[in-house]
Amino acid sequence: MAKETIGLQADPHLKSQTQPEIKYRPTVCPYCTSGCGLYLVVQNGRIIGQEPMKSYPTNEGKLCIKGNNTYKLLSHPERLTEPLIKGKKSSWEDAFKLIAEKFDGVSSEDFGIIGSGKTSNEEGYILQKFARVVMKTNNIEYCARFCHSATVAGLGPAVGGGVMQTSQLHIDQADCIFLAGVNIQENFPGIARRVRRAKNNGTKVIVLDPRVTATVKNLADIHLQLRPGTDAAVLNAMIKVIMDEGLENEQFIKARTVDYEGLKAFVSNIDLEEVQKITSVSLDEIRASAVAFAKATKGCILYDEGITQHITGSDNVKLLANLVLLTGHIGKPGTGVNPMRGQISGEGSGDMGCVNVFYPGFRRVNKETAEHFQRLWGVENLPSKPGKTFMDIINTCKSVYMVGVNPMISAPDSNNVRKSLEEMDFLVVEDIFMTETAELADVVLPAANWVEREGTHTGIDRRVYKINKIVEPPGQAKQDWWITMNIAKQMGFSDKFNYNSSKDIFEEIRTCIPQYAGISYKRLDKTIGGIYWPCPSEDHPGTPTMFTEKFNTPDGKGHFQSVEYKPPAEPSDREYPFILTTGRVIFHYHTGSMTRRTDNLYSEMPEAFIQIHPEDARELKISNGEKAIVKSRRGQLEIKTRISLDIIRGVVFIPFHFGKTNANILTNPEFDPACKMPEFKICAVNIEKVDEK
Amino acid sequence: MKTGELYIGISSEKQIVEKAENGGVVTSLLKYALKSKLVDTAVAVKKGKNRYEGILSFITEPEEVEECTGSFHFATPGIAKNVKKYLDTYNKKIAVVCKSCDARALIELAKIGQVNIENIIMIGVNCSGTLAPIPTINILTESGIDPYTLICEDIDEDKLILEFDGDTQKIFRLNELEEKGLGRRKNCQRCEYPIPQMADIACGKWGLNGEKGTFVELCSTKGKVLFEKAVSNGIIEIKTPSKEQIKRRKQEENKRIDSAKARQKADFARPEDKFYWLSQIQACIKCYGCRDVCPLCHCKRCVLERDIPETVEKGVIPPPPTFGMIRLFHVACYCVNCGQCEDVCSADIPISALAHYLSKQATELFDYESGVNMDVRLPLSAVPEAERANKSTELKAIKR
Repeated sequence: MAKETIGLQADPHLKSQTQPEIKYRPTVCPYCTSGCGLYLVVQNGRIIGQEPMKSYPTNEGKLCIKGNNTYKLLSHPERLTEPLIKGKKSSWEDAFKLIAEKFDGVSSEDFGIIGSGKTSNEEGYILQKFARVVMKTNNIEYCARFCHSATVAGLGPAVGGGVMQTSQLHIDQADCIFLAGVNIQENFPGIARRVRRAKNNGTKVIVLDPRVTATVKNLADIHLQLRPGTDAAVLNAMIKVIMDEGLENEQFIKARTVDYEGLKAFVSNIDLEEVQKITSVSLDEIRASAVAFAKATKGCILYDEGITQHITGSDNVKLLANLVLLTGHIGKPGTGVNPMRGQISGEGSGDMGCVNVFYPGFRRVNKETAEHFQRLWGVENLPSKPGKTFMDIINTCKSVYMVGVNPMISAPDSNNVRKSLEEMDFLVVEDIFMTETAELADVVLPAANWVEREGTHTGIDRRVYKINKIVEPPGQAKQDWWITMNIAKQMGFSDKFNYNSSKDIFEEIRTCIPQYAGISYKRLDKTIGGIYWPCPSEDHPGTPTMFTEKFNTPDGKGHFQSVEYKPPAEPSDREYPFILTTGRVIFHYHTGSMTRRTDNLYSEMPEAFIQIHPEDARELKISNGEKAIVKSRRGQLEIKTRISLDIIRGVVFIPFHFGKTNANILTNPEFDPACKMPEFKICAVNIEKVDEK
Repeated sequence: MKTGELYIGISSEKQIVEKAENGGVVTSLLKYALKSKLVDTAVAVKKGKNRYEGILSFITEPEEVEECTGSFHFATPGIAKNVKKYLDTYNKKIAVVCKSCDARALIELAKIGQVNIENIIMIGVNCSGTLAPIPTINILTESGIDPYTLICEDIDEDKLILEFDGDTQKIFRLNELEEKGLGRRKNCQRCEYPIPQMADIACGKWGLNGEKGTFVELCSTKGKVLFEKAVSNGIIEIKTPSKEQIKRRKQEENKRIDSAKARQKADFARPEDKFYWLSQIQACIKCYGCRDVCPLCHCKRCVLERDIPETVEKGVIPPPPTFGMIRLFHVACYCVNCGQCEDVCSADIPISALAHYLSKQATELFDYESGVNMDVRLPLSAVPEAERANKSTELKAIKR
């Protein structure tokens, strides 16, 4: 039979496996916090394929394009496999010696650590312990400064905590879903499925976004297409409509909130006509959205960078909180004002204390907390003053240790970031690839990634799950906590950093963080889909829904906060007539260090593009696909154009995943004073056609 | 023994009969095939952490086969595609436990040289349909039962019977579930091949009415040879089924075929909304899941990965509707309604219905029933004499 057909032989590269010892190993995708399960197919210690895992509760066997292309990069030829000192291959021994030498004696002011959104909880915990015990500094941060620092500043006073309140599994219970500043279809495709399911069952979906994104196209019933940076005006208007029409939830307000009268007084002064002018959103649509949300049985807000990455980020978050407190849509499954932390350690690294103002478990940095951890860790003189934030560490620290973070691409104003990194006395970068940041490091340390090590992650809805080790890391690459531990040992702290396994570290985490106390490796191995914290004891099932009885504020009540609209830091002007907004696409992840090295993803989009309205393009005499020079006050880029009606006149968009076409060369580092969140979403640029000469 | 004959078999190994849901014939045949080196690998589904997780296993140790005993209605790995991807059927022999959809897919793959049918023994199992695990887990949780205490499930007539730890039982009526969009996977509801006669052996329990045993049909020479060897070596004890039992088995089969045909009629008819399928496809987010799991998708250079503006344009999301449709047109003739595409569709598009619908059109046009007969050539790669003799410009169904 085989001879008769067209002579197609079976694919040779897979067919050398004559004795299959093939096993299917379950795991969770390493990209976003949709947290989708999948099987890796393993043979003789090598991953040879991946298959759907239909019994996993979050995604039920479904994956996005990134989830369908997870494992090949583990064996990519560019994986870092040996420690590098000034670009030369070295040994762990020599690297640790040099690092210890260089770190020793650096003052707590001059030293900083920037941690990761991708490391495990165990790895994050060890990193912050190193900062505090060994270097006596609270100068420790991670990438959440750039996404949800505004959430902590905004939701903290409102409800007592900046966490997702509902389980993602319950989102489809809502009959009105408000997607504020989140392109959920591209950035959380697994969770977008739930919104789509709800919509198919009659749920009304409102999207707040200046662009017509895939989210708008696939999911929106109402698209509030606002001018960039005018979110506060829209949200205040929605609040006013709800109050004017008497649609607030009086019972809830009375029982569970304070400061309603203050809000009422403030809102009475809002001029809706003015709002229409500022935002370019029609009052009809604002009204329709407000009414739909207020009248819903279960309203759910899902929000992300479109709300937070502004100089008024924390203000915007406060207004979203007002909306749910006004309507009572919080404290029940499928409701809440829910920050969408995108990184798989977005929640976890924060829980572990990789933050300048928090020790593990959200204990505020102060004398009392320092003493508490001195007792727990058996050490003395822990730092008790808040440390520097992300950009301050980059701009002012002389000696910096970075783990799994790529600020050359992810931080604003890249030219200035480069300058600061180059001016550092000593920079250590620990990563899996030679990222744009690692290229500037004095010492580069090769790390193990994802299923090359055992560890836990805490997903978007406070769900703690475990990644099991399935393959060995390449070459000399090691697990991040092992690396940090050995630097500590080299610096004389062996007795405080003496762990033999991730499990050892997790057991210590349980004693430090009450929310994790009831979670154990044993329980995690038995459970499918993870355990939600708070989980105070081993027989506690976990807490899918937060704030069911009271809030975490000192008085247990929800607090209304009145916030005025303020315009963005760098509006467009004659010299720079366009507003640039930055964001993401589904094909890439973050700074692209993983996705740009994955064939099926890279080939979809090898470089960035600038999305521009056809009328604007015509005035600039640029055709689709032609290159343009885009300049801001901080730098310039040569980039291909993508002409589209999905964006409004005067506004352009660039995805930030790329090295050569790096959007952050242009962006504005000015920040929200309440949380030091840079205004990634708005800066002013001018655009010129590339002169062919 | 002769091809086409029917037997009632029961394993001669006590521990297998105890574990087995029926006569343990499938388990025994696999074990025997491995032990006697008739095959190198047995492919079957093992229970994972719980009853909802079925892990495809490539077994080389005969004893390990016993861990696969039972029919896991919630486990639907893409068996045919996994065999093609991970095993070398040109150099090694395998025995595969398969439902009709798996067997049909393997046959289609064999026609295009992707697997070597000579080295594959297909031990088919009767199938009333499979279910997606999570919706069932959700209903059970809502009705206050811990879904993970499920010990065993079965589909009997129109009932889904679930047995839990502690002797609890819960019964659902399938039509009630299916009206709500739950119950069996949609492609299963449309399946008109409840007895896998295209495999080498077909095993099941219909017709037995509770008597312990496995109803066996010898569908091919390969199947007959294996079964005969197993019986003559004392692995399986057999007896002849009664006329009544054979009649009942046929009735069960026909019942399911009738309901499948009715379901097809309902699923394929969209009279009011011409744009229904277009609006569904527009939700696509280019995950390539359907292409990755479809057993028939085998091209080394897939058209979906090309960069053709407005058709399958790179880096655009949502992609143009042609992205989802092109693949369907490529596999239309061969679609075996396995439902894998719909299982993994990230946008919850009912893509299997569309694929199945197209394949029915292709079947009529080319008089080609996919996945049932190795000797019938693919319509788009073989031109029979009758077709060459067709002088008109009309596409008429040509008897092949």
